[in-house]
Amino acid sequence: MPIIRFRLNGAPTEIDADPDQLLLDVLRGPLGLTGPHFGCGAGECGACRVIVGDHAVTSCDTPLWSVADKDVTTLEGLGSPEQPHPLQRAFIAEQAMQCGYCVAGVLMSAAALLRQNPRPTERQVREALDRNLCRCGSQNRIVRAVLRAANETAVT
Amino acid sequence: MNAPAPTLPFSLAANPRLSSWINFAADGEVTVSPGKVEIGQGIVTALAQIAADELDIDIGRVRMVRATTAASPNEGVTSGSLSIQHSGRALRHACAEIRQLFLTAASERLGVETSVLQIEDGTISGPGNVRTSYWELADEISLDRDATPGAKPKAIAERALAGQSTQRIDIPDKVFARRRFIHDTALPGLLHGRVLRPEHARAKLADLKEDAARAVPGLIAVVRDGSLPAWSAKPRLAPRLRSRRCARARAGRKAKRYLTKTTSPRS
Repeated sequence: MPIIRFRLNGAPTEIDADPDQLLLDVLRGPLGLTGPHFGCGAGECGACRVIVGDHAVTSCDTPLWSVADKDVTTLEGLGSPEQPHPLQRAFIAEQAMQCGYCVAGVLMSAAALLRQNPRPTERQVREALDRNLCRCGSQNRIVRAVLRAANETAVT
Repeated sequence: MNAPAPTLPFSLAANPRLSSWINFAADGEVTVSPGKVEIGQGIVTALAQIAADELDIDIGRVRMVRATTAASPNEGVTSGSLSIQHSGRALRHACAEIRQLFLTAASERLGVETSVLQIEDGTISGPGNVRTSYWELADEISLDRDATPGAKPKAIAERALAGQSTQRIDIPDKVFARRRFIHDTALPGLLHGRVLRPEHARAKLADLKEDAARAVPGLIAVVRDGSLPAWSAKPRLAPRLRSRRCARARAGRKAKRYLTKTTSPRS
């Protein structure tokens, strides 16, 4: 099988795998990550979202070959307890989840939004998260958390 | 009239050994082991509040042990909005009894009545600046004993934590991608399975073409229960089956059925 190279959370990564394999299965399987979650497996729910380049994509329907030579960021690469991303701080401050299964994907969609638009309006936040489903009903807290992170980033 | 004899709460009666619920760790923590599972309802936080309240310790000292079949109190299933009712009442009662056991031991060690002792964040103190703590006394008091009916938990007005909002203790793990979900655990011999559901409500499975599925290496079994077929495979290989099916679903093509051939209920 061909070796595919890309940057995963900033680190050069190469993997010898079927290029048609789905990115999510490679991330959770041989690469051992648990940030991106398998939800619907059909690109509908957003739990598996990761950032490829500048965009949040559903890794459950993204073939491995399509990320060759690109930058892939998962929740693991967003921040750490020692150096949290403003979104991670804000999601804790707003207690913006119930079960939290969707949140790995929500955070990546929100991070992609803030990269492109550091001061989004509430409507823009809702639009950016439109493809992330949360069945616990935490949507309003999530929106507040994203706006809080945007404010915090703008101030610092 | 006589008051009814006190009884133990449901889950504590089923699992009366105090040490199966609460233990004092040497490092100043308290381990709390409920038999109910955190599935997003927030019970680990609520149960920590109850235990910390009843023991008079800072909630930061509470370490919630994740329920396991082998080691946790057997509280049956986690369902029906019963976790606080069952686990919470058991913990409240167990902690009230444990608090009393330690107050009694402290009274003997310090030479003062229990009625003048107070507990603040696990430190037990009394007049004349005498003091000890749960952790100092832990070696003297075995919790390998059964709970007894009649322990008196605090009155509602005396509770400082339960009933107040607090930060959920499971959320940091979830924003920092630490393993919190059952999907992140692989047990030995784990297989993945998937039920194939029809595209029409009440459809009946007419024919099951297994050849394509059986051609995928790693397939373990195709099973069928009435109109519900399912397959199982080793985890690494399972995605192949999934991906083909999902790719087809997404493409929205007229279903050239991969595994199943269904008939619409009207035909």
